[in-house]
Amino acid sequence: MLESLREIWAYRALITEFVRRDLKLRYKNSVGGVAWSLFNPLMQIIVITQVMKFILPNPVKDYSAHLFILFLWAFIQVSVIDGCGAILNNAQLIRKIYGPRAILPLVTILNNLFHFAVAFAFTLAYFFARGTYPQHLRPEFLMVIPVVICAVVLCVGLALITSYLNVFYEDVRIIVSSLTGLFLYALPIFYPIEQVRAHPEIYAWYMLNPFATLLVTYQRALLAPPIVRNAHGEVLTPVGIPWDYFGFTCLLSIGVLWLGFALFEKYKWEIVERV
Amino acid sequence: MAHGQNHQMVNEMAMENAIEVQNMTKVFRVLHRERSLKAAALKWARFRFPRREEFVALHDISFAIPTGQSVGVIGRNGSGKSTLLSLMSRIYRATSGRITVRGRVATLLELGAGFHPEFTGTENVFLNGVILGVPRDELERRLPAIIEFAEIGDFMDTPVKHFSSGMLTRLGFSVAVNSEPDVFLVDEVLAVGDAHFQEKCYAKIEEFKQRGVTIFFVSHDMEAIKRVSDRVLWIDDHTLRADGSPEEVVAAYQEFDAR
Repeated sequence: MLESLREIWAYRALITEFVRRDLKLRYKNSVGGVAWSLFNPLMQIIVITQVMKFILPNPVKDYSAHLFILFLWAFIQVSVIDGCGAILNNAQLIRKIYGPRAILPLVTILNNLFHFAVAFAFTLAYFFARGTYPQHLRPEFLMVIPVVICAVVLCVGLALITSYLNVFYEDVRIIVSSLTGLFLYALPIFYPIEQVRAHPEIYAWYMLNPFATLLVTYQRALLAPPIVRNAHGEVLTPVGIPWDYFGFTCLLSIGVLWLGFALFEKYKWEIVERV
Repeated sequence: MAHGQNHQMVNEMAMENAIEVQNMTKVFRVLHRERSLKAAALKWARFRFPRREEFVALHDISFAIPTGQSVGVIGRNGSGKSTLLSLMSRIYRATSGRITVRGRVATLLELGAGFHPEFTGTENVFLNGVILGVPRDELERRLPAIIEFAEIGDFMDTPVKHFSSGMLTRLGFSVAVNSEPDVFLVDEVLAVGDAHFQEKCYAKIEEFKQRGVTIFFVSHDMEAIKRVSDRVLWIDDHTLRADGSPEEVVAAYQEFDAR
């Protein structure tokens, strides 16, 4: 296993080259280039903000600013779906050229990380333009770094597992994409986490979902907790950075990565004969 | 006396084998398994498990190729030649036995393998070069030589999906030979080029031989085999049937093939 890691490291030039290839391909035939990676989440943010104006009884101040965590969710979701197809989509290459195959799922995640970086820069620009920053910029902002690292680790792990499974069962990709679609409702994106916190018995389970914890931590790193009122107009307990759950998510992500890599290592030769 | 001994030792070092294949067997497991999780789950629910079949692609192959030798591989279609080449380029893992290939390997298993159709000729040179293990800055330096050898100067900025198969072969071959390999593994790709380009390839292969590059290539073109190789392996029915001088082995194969 250590030897395989060393080999992946030795092939880092190839990883760079593949990332470059995929980014180039994505933008080759489209006017506007990088803007497209912002388009989808941005439209969602606008639509949700407008819809929620009618639904929420007590509007949350700066609701749309809090919605900017959608970019992180878009990164995770697309990484997992793309990662799942990483091996099968490169079948031609795998059959004819040698290289550590684990770099393929890795490349898709790195690619999406690039798009996330663009979206993140956009988020900062937006916050500064609106005057949210530098006024609300707090030391907690630095937590963005561990959150993104943790998300990458988790996504690479999931991509290794699902891309391996996808070689043997082609419908895994469909299952993965509909599951990640469902996750949207189990995440504190449309509604503030404080509303979940108001039900402690649900909250404990809810936060075991690593995606929920990542999004909450990311949101609290960017912005202070909003003031959320319940139907009776009472202010709900604010939720800060959930350190305990975040710690758990980090451990879980490392576990998933380890499992994914071990699984991939064990079956890497079968994968080639099967694609 | 002492001098003689010393000389022999140096000779042995120089004669270290570039390729060693020992009692190598490759069995493919053909699984008659469901391609979807849904179908598989339905079968498991009825206690029906996948059927397993084995297919011996290569059986007990052994040979050793000293550094600098050119070896041609011949045999009928489906005899296992390409599988052997794939095994040597580490695409597959041998079921038993050992394969050792020493030095920097350049593999040409398929026309334009690793080329991306949407990319231009130049972009593909970089992509393919890095796949073969040449650093980017080094490729930058060799780019003129690569373009010149491939003779497609005017089309280097055209996406390769518009290339003819001849142009693809030329570019692929040019990148591979310019990666300065120690071991060059080639599967029947030269057949596509025109006579002029084939001549250039043979000249390049001659140059490789002078430089001590080990060449291992599969071909159905007996003239090419006789011209390039120092030694010929004949794979028949998944085993090594003959291993010897080009004249003998080719003659034996042609006699067998005519039957």
